[in-house]
Amino acid sequence: MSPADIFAQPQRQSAIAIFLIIFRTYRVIVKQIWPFVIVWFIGGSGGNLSTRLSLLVGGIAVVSMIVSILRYYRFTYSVVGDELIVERGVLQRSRVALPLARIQTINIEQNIVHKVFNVIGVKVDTAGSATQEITISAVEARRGALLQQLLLSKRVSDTSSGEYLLPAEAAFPPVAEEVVHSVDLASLLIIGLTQNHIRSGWIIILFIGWILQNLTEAGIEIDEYLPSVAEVLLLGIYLVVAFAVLSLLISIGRTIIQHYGLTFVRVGDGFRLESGLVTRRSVAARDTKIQVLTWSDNLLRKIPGIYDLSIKQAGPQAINIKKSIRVAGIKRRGIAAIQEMLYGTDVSAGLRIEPVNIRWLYRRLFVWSLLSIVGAVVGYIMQETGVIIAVSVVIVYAYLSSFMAYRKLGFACDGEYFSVRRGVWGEQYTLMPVFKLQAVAYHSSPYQRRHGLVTAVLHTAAGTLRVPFVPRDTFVPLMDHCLYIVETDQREWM
Amino acid sequence: MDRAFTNDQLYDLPSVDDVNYVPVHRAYYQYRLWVTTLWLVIMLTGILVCYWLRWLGIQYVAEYLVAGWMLLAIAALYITHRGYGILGYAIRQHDVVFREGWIYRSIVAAPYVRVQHCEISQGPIARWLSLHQIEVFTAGGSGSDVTIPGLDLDTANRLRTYIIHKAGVNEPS
Repeated sequence: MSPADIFAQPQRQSAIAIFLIIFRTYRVIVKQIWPFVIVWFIGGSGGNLSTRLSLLVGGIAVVSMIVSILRYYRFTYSVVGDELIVERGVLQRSRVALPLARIQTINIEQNIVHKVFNVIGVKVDTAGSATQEITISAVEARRGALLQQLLLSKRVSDTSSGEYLLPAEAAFPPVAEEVVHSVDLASLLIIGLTQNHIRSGWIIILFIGWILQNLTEAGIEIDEYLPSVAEVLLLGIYLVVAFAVLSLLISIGRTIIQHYGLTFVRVGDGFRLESGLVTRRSVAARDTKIQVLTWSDNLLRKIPGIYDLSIKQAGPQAINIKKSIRVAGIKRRGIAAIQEMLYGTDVSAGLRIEPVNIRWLYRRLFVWSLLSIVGAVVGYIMQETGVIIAVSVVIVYAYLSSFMAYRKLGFACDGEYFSVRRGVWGEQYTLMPVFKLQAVAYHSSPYQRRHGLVTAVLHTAAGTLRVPFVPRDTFVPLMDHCLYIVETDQREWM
Repeated sequence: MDRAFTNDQLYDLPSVDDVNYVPVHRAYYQYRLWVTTLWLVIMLTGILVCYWLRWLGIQYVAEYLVAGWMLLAIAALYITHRGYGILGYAIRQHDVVFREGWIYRSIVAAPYVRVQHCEISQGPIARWLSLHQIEVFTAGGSGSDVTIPGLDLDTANRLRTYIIHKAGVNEPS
């Protein structure tokens, strides 16, 4: 029996789905009724707390179980002709018929529960204004893989004939797979070590803040325990070291959980990425669906020369992040290889980035100077040396980072591709083919108009690119050209 | 090889700079004045109510607040007045161009080939003045959608039909 035959009949999910649905229903119910619960706890009379609690938990559990089981039995999916058909709903039945050609991505998910029972979750995303997302909570792993293959092959196959008539063995011709990039444990450590530790540091700062607040609320006066100056210094050093070590550990931990066993492969005319320690995620994208490439590094990553690459597909802004493929720890030549596969050549190597107008920097420095004057005046009035020192530190950092940001900020366009570079200490590159643009715009403030400048705005189906302070005389012809390309290019943009 | 952008090798492209913008319906000028006035009245009412009820200590600074309100009113009405002159759209062969904003100006061009769908809508004040607006949606997120306000129903319908026809989108009417 060919996969096409198997899925022609309405299918139920694997029974494991019941557990997953129970869990999800439980969460939804708890989220929706918590205000009533609080009222019930506070306002109600009679019965002690533990009885009420067990009643409540028991009640929710029973209700969510019944709802989940009903939901499980009323959920079926099938692939009929060129449509994925899902029927669902307990009280209000609904039938979703999704044309396979509309499918953007098919994501396979396997969390711990999935792994234990050897099942997978399948998520089907579509783009466009009618956002529909179909989630099949659990299918047997083998069956799920078959389904994914079937959906993919049908989507690729020519649907103009109206009927899908591929013989079973020809349905899944062995597609050539080529590993473009993979991450071993050593590289994973490097990626973790070169993370933006400040971000991890914030978690610790928030945690310490939380503890201090709790101590104060518990009536413990922290001031009483404050030791002498020498002790404070020593403590400070300890804290800094502990802070650094902890930040590092958090960064590495997060990296391992997210990117463990990362493999990025070329499959036919698309890419697939698999990664994750606890929850294994697999995201795939076809070349035509890819809108924008973005890669970035930071100061630390410049040493091993690695970048974070994200491949963005078309879709509503909210689900873009989920659908973008994040390839961690890739080298410049890996990015070049991907560009060669996508565009036929290493486009970014041939683009010369032009800086934006120097007035962008002047303006930033002007704003920072104003702020620092205000800060200094406040410090003077308060007679606080601490404030004045803090203002000075901030202003030096602001000046320096503005200058660095100006040096990084720029754009390039050779008529076929558009690229933007930005960053402060590291660099972030964005690259997109001009013909994939959705709309082109420019904005100008009175200050910009006085100096013949505009902010260029390029709308893509995977986000908006903005370049501030571009000479009007440069951008308007560029805009005309971009519009010309979009309006005449016959290639499929998604 | 450096491939900086040049425009020489191409023939003369029509420029968004040479576009003749069509102004929207005259009644839209009224509409904008009404909306601005409404906001200003709401704000003044707020100040006066606080003054009479002696809330927020406003009675001590009422003169300044009213003076500030008057300045704001003059500025807002003037900006609204000037903004109407800038507002305009151009239906070109392959795209629709829209310009707005007297102080912070913005010009958007959306090619028909990227249009997802078109919508005609109307708010309460616009209904009273028989004005409609047409929204042209692309896949580029809210910033790339072109909204042309202040159209009479006939113009809005004609624009919609034309844009849908050019976009090749089959839409239920």
